[in-house]
Amino acid sequence: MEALIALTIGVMTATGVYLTLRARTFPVVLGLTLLAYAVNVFLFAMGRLTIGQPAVIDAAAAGYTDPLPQALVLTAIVIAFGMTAFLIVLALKARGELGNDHVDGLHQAKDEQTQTKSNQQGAKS
Amino acid sequence: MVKAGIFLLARFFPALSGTPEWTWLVGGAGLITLIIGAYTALFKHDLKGLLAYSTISHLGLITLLFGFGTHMAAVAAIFHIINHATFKASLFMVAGIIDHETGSRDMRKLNGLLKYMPHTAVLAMIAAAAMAGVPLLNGFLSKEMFFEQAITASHASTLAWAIPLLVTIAAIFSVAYSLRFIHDVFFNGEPIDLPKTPHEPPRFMKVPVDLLVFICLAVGIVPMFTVAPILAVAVAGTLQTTPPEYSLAIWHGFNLPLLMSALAIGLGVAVYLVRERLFVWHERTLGRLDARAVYNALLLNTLRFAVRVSRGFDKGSLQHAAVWLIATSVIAGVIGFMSMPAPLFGEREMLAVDAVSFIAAMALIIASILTVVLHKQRLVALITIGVVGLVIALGFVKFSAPDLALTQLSVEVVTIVLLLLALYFLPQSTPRETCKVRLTRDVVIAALSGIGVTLLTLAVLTREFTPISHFFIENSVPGGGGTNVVNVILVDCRGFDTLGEIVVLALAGLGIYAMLEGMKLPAPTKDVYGRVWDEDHHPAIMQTLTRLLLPLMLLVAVYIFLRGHNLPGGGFIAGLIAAIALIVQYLANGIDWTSERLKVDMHWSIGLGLLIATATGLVAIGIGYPFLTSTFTYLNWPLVGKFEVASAIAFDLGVFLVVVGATVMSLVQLGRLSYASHHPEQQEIK
Repeated sequence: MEALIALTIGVMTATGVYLTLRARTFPVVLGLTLLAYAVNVFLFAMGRLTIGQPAVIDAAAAGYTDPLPQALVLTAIVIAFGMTAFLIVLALKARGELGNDHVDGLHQAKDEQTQTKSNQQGAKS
Repeated sequence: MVKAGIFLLARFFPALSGTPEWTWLVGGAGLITLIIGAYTALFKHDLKGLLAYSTISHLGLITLLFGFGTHMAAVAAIFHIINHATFKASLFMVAGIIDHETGSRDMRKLNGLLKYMPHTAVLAMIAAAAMAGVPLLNGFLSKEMFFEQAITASHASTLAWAIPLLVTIAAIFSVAYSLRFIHDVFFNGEPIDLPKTPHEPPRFMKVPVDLLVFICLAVGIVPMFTVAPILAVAVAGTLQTTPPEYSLAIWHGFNLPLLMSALAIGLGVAVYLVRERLFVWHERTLGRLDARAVYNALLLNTLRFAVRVSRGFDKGSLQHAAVWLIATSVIAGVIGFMSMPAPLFGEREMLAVDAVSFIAAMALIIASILTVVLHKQRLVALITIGVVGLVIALGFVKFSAPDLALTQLSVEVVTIVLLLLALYFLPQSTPRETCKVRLTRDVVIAALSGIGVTLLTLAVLTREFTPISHFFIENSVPGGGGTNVVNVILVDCRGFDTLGEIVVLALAGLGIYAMLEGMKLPAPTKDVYGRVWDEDHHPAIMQTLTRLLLPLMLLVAVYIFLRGHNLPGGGFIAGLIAAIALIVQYLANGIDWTSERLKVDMHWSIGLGLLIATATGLVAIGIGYPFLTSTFTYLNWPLVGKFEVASAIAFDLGVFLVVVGATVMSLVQLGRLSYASHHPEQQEIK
């Protein structure tokens, strides 16, 4: 199970990093969201994985999971939302001011070609 | 002023001296300054120029002494600071007197002043002799100590024999320029073409010089009765330990330092005698060297190099900067793994994998990869990333984190709605990137990051650890009055942290409001495939249902909020649920309809929330407890039974209000943007 969780964290990190390095604002926001997921799950896993032992005090409970990483991650999730919201609005503002959605404010990067009709059809099929 | 740096060196001496870096940097700088200063002073025709370069040379001498790093050298350095101050101050005053009485400082014009101002001449001679290191004057004593230290330092390495040689050369020039100050000004024929007829200055211009020259003599002849106590205090203050044994005697017998002094005086006189030829030679060769130009060029080139380096890293491109940042962290991680002596994985027993978990994990992995593969079709990518978030919420349920599951679930909903609203104003697809090198590089960096994080997680999860959470579990009920440990940590144990976090959230909400206020973006009328958006903005079934559901949703929020201290729930989650309940109204019924009925400005919610949360902390201070201390008691309510009331619930109410305010404000503001873009004739909607 630990290996499976580690793998999912790794995949989310890799996909997050790849999208974060893209040139347009929307994929970057998606990438940062994925990275935030990865970091949250990573932090959570630092308390080790426990099944069926929530940290709610109960005389009948056999044991408790580590509540500290959970408290940290809970606020991290909310902060990550705040950050995502701020970023995406920043992206909107940049689009409004600069007229495009490139992260550097360029109209068109050298290594991009506009999505033509044929490309779209290629993507559809 | 000129000795401020020396003072700093002396203060740092006990802490920094004794290392090779100190010796090379400080000593090297001192030696170079000593020689260049002494050499240049001889060729200055301006009286004050000569003295200024002489000062540079003496500062180099003192720096070199500190650079030697021994306690005895420090004693010599401090002694020379005192001596240099007395004789150099008197010499500068003499230069001032001469300037004042003759109208010139040019030594080529100033000659034979002895008969015009004999008193000043005598004072200058004594002070200059002290500067040259003539016996029975204070300069001689500290210079002897300096020579002795230079000889001691020459034993350090095979190249160090050059130190006594170089300092003797500097001393020769020192004697030569001191001699020039006396001979060229007070003897050597008649004055040439002076603006004024020279004469003795008024009495009070001479008195300060008299005093200083007297000190030069007194220290030089009877050091033990004059300078010794001051020196002892200064040495003790500088070294911060017991000072070494040192002797201030004038006569140490015939030894190497005395020989060096004699050599310096003898050869210095010789150098002075051939000065005319030296001047000519200097003018033709070294005198042409413009040190300022060299310095400026060095400075300019250093700055240019710095600019080029920073340009290399910062090309004004976020992509470029992000690559550096992530690649650096990958490299740092690799170095970390490489330098770990222990085996990568520990011995801890792992949990067994069950089919449901496996399928969920696979769904998450596939959804993550699909997000990347399909990221050019933005709407599809948004849906797949929603899947990732939902699976994570399920994971939290599985691994005993109900609070996290609730939070993740509600945040996921809000995030997707927000991104959907924003996506409406962004291009619906991403242009294709053609640079294969860049794509390959990004894939490699991403893969390395993923592998690194996987290994790191496994390395941690396969090891046993001792958590510090026992404290929280043990003190949750007796100390915090709540059985939900996670919530007690949030609102009680780490309340200050949470306060900071809601402040961040509040700022994000206000920032979003400010950025979108008054902004207008061209709204697309068709989707990516050219289909026209539906004209029916508010479907009737959705309107009716959401209106019916609103009280229920708010009830759930209140329930989740109230039980938060004891069961999964709390301010964050309840706030998000309430926010969703309100946002649904905006979505289903439109901003106009909802704003008319919900007359609450979300600024007030944010402000009130922060105020309540902070006030909870301040009340604790007011009654003499640390900030954010909480208390609780049990009440017996009829029908309800025993009921716990904790002051932390007030803090949680603050959290709730801030979360509701910031979330609703962000989303509604985005919705307003779409309204404003569709109704360009109506500028402001309230």
